[in-house]
Amino acid sequence: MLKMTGVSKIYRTSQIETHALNKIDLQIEAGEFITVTGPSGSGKTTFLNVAGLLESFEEGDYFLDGQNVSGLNDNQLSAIRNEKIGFIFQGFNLLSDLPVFDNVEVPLRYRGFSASERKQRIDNALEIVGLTSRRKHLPGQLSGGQQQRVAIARALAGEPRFLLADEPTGNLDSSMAAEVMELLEKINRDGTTIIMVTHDDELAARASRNINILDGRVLKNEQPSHKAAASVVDINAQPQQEAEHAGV
Amino acid sequence: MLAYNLQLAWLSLRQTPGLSALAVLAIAVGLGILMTIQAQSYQMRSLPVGEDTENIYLVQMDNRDIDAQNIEEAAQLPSLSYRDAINLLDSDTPAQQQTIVWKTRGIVNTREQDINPVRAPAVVTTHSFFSMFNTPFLYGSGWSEEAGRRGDAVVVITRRLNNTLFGGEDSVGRQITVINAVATVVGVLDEWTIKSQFYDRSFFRGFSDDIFIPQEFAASMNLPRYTQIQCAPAEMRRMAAFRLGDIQTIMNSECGWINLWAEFDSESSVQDYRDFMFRYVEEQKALGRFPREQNNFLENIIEHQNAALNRDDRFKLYQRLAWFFAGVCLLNTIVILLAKYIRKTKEVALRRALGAKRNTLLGQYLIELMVIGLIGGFLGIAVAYLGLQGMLEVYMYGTDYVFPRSAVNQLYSLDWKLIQNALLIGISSTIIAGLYPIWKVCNIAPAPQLKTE
Amino acid sequence: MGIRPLLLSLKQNKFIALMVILQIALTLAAVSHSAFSTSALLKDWNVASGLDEQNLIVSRAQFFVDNPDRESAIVQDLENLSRLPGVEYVTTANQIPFAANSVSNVYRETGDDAQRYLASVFELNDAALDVLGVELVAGRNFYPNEVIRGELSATTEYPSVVMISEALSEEMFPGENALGKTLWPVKDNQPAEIIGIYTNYMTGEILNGVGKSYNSAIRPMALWSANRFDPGYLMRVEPGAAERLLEDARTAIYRLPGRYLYNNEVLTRTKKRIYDGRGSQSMLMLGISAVLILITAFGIAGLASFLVSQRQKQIGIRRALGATKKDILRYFLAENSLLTVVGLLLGAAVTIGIAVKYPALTGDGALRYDLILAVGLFLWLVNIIAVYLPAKRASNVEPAAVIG
Repeated sequence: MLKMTGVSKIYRTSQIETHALNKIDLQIEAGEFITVTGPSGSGKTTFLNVAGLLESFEEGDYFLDGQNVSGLNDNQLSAIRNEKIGFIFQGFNLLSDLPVFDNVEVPLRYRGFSASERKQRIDNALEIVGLTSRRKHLPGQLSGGQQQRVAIARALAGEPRFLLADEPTGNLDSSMAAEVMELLEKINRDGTTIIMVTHDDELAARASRNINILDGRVLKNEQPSHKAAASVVDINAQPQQEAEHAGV
Repeated sequence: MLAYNLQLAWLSLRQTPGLSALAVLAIAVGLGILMTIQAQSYQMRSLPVGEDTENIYLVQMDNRDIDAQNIEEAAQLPSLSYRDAINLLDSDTPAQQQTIVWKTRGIVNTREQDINPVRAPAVVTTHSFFSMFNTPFLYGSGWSEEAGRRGDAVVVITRRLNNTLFGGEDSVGRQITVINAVATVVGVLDEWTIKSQFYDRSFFRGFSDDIFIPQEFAASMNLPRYTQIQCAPAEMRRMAAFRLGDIQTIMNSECGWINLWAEFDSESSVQDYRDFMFRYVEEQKALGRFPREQNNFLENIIEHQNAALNRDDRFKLYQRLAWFFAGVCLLNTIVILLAKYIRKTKEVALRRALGAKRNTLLGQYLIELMVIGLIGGFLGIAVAYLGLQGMLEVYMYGTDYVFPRSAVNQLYSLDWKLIQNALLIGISSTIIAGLYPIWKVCNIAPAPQLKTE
Repeated sequence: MGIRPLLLSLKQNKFIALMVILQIALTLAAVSHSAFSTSALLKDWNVASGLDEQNLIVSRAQFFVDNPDRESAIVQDLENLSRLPGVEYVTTANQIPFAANSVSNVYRETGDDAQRYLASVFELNDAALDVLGVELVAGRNFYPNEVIRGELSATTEYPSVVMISEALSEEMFPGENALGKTLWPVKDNQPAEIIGIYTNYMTGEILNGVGKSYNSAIRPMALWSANRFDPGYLMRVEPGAAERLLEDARTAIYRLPGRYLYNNEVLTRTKKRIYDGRGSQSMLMLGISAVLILITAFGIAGLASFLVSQRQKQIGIRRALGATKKDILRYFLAENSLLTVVGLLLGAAVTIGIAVKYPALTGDGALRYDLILAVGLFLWLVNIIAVYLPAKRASNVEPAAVIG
């Protein structure tokens, strides 16, 4: 599904060379919910950017959905991002000039869908995140949690294979963070692979697998201990109950 | 605090060098175009000749037929008839000095074999012309009042003609032939810069005519009258005779063709002269002349000049376009300044959060605007200088280089007053353009801007 | 890409959008008005002269002594001038090409309601066509014995033949053969038979100004009038000899004393004079307009550059969501074009409004929709160019650097 072998990313200045990513070997299967942890500056955001094709890398091979992406040009990369990857950022990164509906529409327009197809997908995505009634609001008129849900809807609307999330709850208070987290888990259960960068161990523990990065290297790559033995069904069942509780 | 503000202004300018430069450029070009046109207008509207001529007035009296059209502007009224001009010239009037002017032209020749004749326009006038208009003399002087009365065969020529005919030597005492009249040179004018030929009311741009001939002598030689002659419609068919026939014909007519200029030493004597004109016309009415209601004008040389300028449609068009263009540049400045200050939103929010009062920030940005305006003003002056040089070149080309550069230079020059105006307009228009942008940025609520998005 | 996101985004930047629209509208109005007056000025400007003006010299003198023998002076001048090495043909001339400012009405018939045709009538001698270097397209040249010379008031018999230009022939006798037809050079006066038709040459400013630059007729005559005018001389010279021959011509003319040479120049100079006034005014208009367009373009470029830096993040997000570089470039160009089109429409309305309400503002020109359209398209093109660089910069924004 996603396979990196010996991927390195090097930042060069005139004096020093920094290995932001150092020979990453990694394989992620469809349906996994991966969390990436590590201290500030460890390279986890760089990893996410490289994985999301937002940054190039110098060495190694990266296969996405079976396709080697190292030799692709900018237009091809844009197309892959548009079709296969959804992004969710800590700062939401909504287009502040556009209302909710039009924000969600952005990737669909680049995809070249017809107006009716776009509308259907947007309606779907907004329903999933529970913001159908806010479609005409500008991002500035929404709360942080709502804004992040718009961002999730935008990422979902294109029905991507991967969802890359960079500290999606970092700017939210705990109740909103929980809401967003439950939403992500629900999306994962519906079949979308999620890779999420976080510094919150508690959230990391809820994932199917945790990757710990330090100085650009993968330090640990394991299933959280309490889930090691649990079946896939078990992993998915628990949050659903929590979601029902939260809804009460 | 001022020093701190200036320092901040400078820093702020350097923060957005591109936009600051564009703002300066927009101001400079708008101002430059405006100044290029305004400078010409200003120079043309200043005294056409030297200093101490602001007290010179043109004397006009309406002696036309009863059925002629009403005239309410001095500029429209014909000049004086010969009879009235001479009557007033010979009277004891409240004016300090008076002179008359009309024009002729013809071929001028010397006795020298190797000098080819030239065709030159000439001014027929009286001895007082030279003292009234402060003409500078290179050699000799004007003729005396007595010489004028006697009809002595004398002339004054310009330095230019003296160069052509006598190679620049002192030609006083030498003889020239003007058409058919042989006359002795009594004076050579030095370089006499005038903006336009004001003395015959034509206000043609350029330099003065080349020869000055005394009235009595010109009349005795029957020199042609190549000057503006305005007559009753019935008289128009005799125009050829008026111009080229016996000069007595036009001297006896009621046609207007003599320009009478009077100089005054006080405002009250101008008023006295008006009364004098009124009495004179009443006397003439008693003699059966002046059939119309009294309609006299005694207007300043400047007013006549400005009336002539206002008739110049082409110049008016330039002026309108210049304002139009300056307007576009101002709009441009507003947009650029808006872009510049919106960029500062975060910085303003931060300063406000740190306790800066809105008025302090407004003050700081006002100072920055002044600096932009000042630089724009200076650059605008440079643009105007280039623009004026360009207009001068175009004018020289467009008039096929008949005028020497020195004769028209002044119309395309800047002086301190213009420069001062340019700076003032530059600064004030920048502030006007910047008011909305800085007001907008200073009124932004600080809190939302400081939250990371 | 749809227009809706553009509109939504502009709604958030109303003031800037408004200013850009106003600026473009005003620029269009100002430049259009310059264009109206320039196009009127440049109508028939510098059209083909039909002559080798660089090989033509004019010398015109006037007697100032009383009662000279003008007839023998003309004979002597013609001989002196044609003997100058380099001079090929000489003719007497009452007026010369490029400066033919005596324009008359000529007629095909007599009577009060006879149709008038505007033309410059040239009084030249039998060398006329050789001097001018125009071709005879039909008919014959003058015979030397057809040339009439004399004092104006003493002359009662005028030439019985005349040649006309192709242009005049087409205007007076459309679809007919003008040869052999009769022409009245002066109303109800002696008529003349048209014996030749020659190729067109430029007459002068007056006819040029009314679009009839080439309407001319040539009569074989040389008249003078005491104290009024003497005929001048028009010479064809060898290529390249014109400048050198000016001085020789001057000397030749001054060989007879008692007169004043007031015009001695190569016809290139005469030609310059009919166009330079209008040319210089147009140059000014165009210069100012160019500066204005440049300033507007700078403003637009500055603004676009500002919008780009303000939207760095937005661009990054769009890129992350799958926009290609081209999509970003197109977004900025489309946004600018949208504002430009609205500005141009408004500007066209303002231009037409002003032209209708204050016709004096257009100078000598008149409202012309095609010019508004041309200026508008040009402005649009300039704006695209002005926006291109900032937009290109926008498309190169690295998404990873600005988001997250």
